[in-house]
Amino acid sequence: MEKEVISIKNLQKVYSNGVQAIRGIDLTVKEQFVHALLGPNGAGKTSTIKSILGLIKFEGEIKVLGENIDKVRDRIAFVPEEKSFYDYLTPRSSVNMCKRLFKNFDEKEAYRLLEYFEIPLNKKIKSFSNGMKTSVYLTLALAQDVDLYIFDEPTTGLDPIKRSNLLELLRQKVIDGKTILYSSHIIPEVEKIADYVSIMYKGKILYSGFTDEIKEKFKVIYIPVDTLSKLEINLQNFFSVMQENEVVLLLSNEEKQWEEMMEIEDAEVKDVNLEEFFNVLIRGYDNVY
Amino acid sequence: MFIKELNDMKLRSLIILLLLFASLVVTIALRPYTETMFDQLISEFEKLPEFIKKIMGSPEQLTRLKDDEYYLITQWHGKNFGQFLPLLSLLIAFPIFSKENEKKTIYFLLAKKERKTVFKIKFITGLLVLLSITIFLSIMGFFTMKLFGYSVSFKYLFPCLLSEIVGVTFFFVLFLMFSIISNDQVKPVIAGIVVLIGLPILGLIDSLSFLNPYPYILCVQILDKGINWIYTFGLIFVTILLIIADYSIFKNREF
Repeated sequence: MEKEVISIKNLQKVYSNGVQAIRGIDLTVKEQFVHALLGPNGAGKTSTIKSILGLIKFEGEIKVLGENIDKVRDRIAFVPEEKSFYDYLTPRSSVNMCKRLFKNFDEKEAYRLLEYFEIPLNKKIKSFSNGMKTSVYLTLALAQDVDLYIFDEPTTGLDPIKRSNLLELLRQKVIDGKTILYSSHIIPEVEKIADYVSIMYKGKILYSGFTDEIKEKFKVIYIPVDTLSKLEINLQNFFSVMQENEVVLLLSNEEKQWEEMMEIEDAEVKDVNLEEFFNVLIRGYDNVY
Repeated sequence: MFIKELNDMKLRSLIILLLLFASLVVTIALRPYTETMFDQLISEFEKLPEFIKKIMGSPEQLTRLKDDEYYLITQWHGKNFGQFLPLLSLLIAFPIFSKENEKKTIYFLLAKKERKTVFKIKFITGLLVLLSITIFLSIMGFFTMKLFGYSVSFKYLFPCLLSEIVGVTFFFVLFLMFSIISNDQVKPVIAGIVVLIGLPILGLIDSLSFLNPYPYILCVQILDKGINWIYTFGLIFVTILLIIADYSIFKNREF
């Protein structure tokens, strides 16, 4: 049985200004997976991560590596949304600092990664571009030999090549037996890296499942509004429904529905990719149709 | 983490230390000139306008300035150094948490270390640096006077040190609270300055005079009355309460 690296039960978070950021979610991150939290800005991804790390107060239950977070901080590396490190340091002095701070910090790996990201070692971080600052932060996290890596929007500021390099590095970590929780709103990135995806919106998880299974289990049905209005179809039976211009998109995970819809003139039943799935799910939630 | 914290405050601590040490040397180097100046003032005291007389104090007090020990306590501990001590506490304390909050580097620490550890190390490092500067400059006052050939004993060293240590620690934990609460570095400085100005003003009201810790920190009362033990224990008690409050706020704060 796969081990649960993160286990969240009925997580709720209401900020002091009354904003309900998380509305009772359950989430399980399994060992040796890249588990992506995908959602638009304000979906509750960062609040979820902050709750996991004990940076904010919350209601519900969270276990990390089977323990309370404070007992396992040594086994976690975290890259926050704001990747601002001590900018008066150079990458070299940052490595020295991390070497002293973290017992599982691999100095050689850090220098290898800095070279990989083409970061000058002796320039102060404050003189770096956003992408370079992100690369330094990622290096300092990835050079820690830990069981769980948590990344909140890790590719901010990275150019496409470095972004691709990072995703390869993360994939290698999983091959080496590590687990990654990865939050992003960039769908192609998630599609490329994630084994498992949880789609968040307005503080809820609308879908959780294997990324590959989305293509296998779901189809999207395009049907003109006029045609749909003439039919007696119960839209509640579909996974999600949205309208785009004069066409209604129906997300379905039932083969029987696919077959029925294929028989309707003007209706098209298509395979779904993550981007389409995400759009229909999110916009369907808002009852656009 | 201890070394990281020391590195964080290295530059400003060194600058403060050098400036204050320079101020000490100047204070003692000016000793012969002030004596001449006060001699002249005493001889012409009656001719001075009333408001200047009030500022200068009585001729007896001015005469006492000829005493090296009295000069050291009133001019170094009671003026240059003593009056700077609360500000020194503010300069050391205000960025300890607020800088990490403002720059968001606090995530780096809190993701990997327990809050208790982060608080403990930051608190202890800041206090150690502050007390090191305070103790060094307090002791150096006595030694530098000796070095310049003046006659001072060390009988006021302990009472002065005690007042200064208790005083700066009180201000440190108070300003640390502003640093913990704030998301930027400006607010704790403004709040600190308000406190530094506000407490002496409140102390002008007789019934609230205990709120002004300056007379205690400045050591001048020690010359005539010795250590004010009630005030010392009172301040220590308030300081302990503030430390508990600081930790509690930090432990429950959201980032």
